[in-house]
Amino acid sequence: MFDILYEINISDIDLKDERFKITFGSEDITFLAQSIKEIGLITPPIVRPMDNHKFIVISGFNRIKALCYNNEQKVVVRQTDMEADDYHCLLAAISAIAFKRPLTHVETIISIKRLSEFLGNGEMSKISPAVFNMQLSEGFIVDLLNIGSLPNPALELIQTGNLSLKSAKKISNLDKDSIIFFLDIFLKIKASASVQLEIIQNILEIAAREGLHPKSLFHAMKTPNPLYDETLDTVLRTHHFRTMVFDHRYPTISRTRQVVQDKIASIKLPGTIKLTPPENFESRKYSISFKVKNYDEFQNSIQHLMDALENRTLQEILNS
Amino acid sequence: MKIDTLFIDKSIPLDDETDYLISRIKLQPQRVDAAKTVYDFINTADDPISLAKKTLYITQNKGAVIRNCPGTCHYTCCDYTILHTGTFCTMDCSYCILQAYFHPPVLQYFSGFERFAHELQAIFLQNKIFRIGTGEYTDSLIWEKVSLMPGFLVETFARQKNSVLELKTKTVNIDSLLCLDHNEKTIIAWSLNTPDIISSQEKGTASLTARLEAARQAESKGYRLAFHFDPIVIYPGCEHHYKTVIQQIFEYVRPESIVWISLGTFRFMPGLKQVIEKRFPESILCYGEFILGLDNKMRYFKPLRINIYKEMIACFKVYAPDVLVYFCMEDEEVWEKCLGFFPGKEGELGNMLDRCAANHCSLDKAYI
Repeated sequence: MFDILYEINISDIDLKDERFKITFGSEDITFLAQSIKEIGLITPPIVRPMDNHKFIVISGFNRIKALCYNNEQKVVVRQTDMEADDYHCLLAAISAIAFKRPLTHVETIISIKRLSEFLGNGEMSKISPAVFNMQLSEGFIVDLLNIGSLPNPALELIQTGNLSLKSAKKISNLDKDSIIFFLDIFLKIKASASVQLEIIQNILEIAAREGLHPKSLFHAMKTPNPLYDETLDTVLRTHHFRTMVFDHRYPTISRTRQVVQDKIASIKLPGTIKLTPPENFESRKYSISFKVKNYDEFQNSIQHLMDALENRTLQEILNS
Repeated sequence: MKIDTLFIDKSIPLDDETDYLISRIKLQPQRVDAAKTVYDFINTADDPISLAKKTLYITQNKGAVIRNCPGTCHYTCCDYTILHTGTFCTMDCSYCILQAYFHPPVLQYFSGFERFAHELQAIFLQNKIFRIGTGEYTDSLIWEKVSLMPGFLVETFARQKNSVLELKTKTVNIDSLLCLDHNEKTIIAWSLNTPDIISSQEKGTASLTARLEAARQAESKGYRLAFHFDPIVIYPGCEHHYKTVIQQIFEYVRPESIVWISLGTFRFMPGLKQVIEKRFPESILCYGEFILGLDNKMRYFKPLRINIYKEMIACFKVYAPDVLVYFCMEDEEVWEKCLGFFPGKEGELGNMLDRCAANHCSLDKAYI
């Protein structure tokens, strides 16, 4: 299909036609341009001739852009037959990347979405090793299609890691307003995949418990929402937001933890001594630990603990 | 839920017991060589749990007929003995652990009076008290209308002096038991909950008042009674609702007829949450303040458990100060803070309950 190399004018390539582009967003091509200038174009792009004597790109958008950046006039390409159909060109576009490096999540989603115009889920699963360089189960394909149907900026958030595939799958089952509500949250915070899921789950459970739609939840909370606090950086905003949601999901647990933490702080143990309450307060076992570098520090810590023996708050904590 | 498919193990004899059961269920049984046929049938469904509730498999218990209650070391167990007469249930409580406990869940009726009689005889010959129940893996009375088993058990227990039979139920299926000579050796026990929880989470069960009315009937025939508040569900206003239920109990029955009352807040294996969310999407049961307990089950945060227990116990003190109230699977702190003592020694709670059973059910006190 692409056996013969041709030299064509770059001006004959219609770069606006991106029907076979499966990479997401625009990449910085300055290094690639520099590389082509010094080393040359190692892999020719693949193009398809069109009826209007123009070409459209199947694979190699960035390489052609880099050549333009270098003010090149001509490019050596592999060219498909005039008869090559969209389906086969799409297969070529996907496999050209998939067998060079693993596709990103977003590329896989875009590819599956485009391919679903030609194939059913079972067929896509069947040909996936040859096209995607990995086996995609039918269930996973369904998930990807659902995720692919999420509105903007879902793909951008997945690309940047602000939204994991699991989180995207979770919200893809929700109604449109809820989806927009969650996308707005993940646009403003940056959390690990597990924290994202925790936040989604906690919000959905609070909403279910209180009989509210998730989007009305923040109004009902009646506390300043760190999500909209422009003075916070992303890390702090994420931390405060996660805490706010947790506190609302588990009010008694949060309150109890805070009270105990305040009491422990009031004992004013030195930083080297740590008093840790039992996890979730289910057992009664507090742990007290300290680190020492030498005997003097050991003696010092013991002295602090001896002093704490008289502390009423400590007695109160341990006897509660 | 009505049974619409009936399987029977080919190897079990068609005797009076099975004939009676089949004739009452009014379905032609499909005779099968192995349980796998039943499992496969159930597993083909989109919702195997719902299908399993309508599919009865009459078979024999291939494992232990009598076994100990599977308590855990972190929480105090009542040392109950289980008589394994069947599995799963036709009622559809959202919180039911059996949904996640069996893979797949199969509604089994274990036939074989002779085997049960033989195994029980070995128990009756021992010099100790046994509290034996059939309600651990199933409801004790779901088959009462179609089976001779409950009556057989009541009459078998009536002829000995060291064991009580506890039939735990959410039904009002006691008609066939009322005329039996139980010799005070059977306790009929009802799981109770608030009307809100019964109507929203206990699909297919009898209403609270129907259960209490059945308890009154059982009491009138001299049966000893027990009540189990398990699972207690914490929700806004639950304290008042549970106290109202407690008050209602004593409008129907006398405290003297009650052998014991147990309390246990909702707890669940983490895997049950997904089952509930899938099968009961309206249920918000799992969205309380749960933490992972020391036994790896989700439990309400301890101060919340202590709070509801204290409220309920205070209410029992008013209406039935002498009735033994105990906790199912709770720890030292909960016992001490709510009841003022902890049956700390291994087996101590079991001993307390044995003494109570002996006193109420005319067991031979020499075995205590």
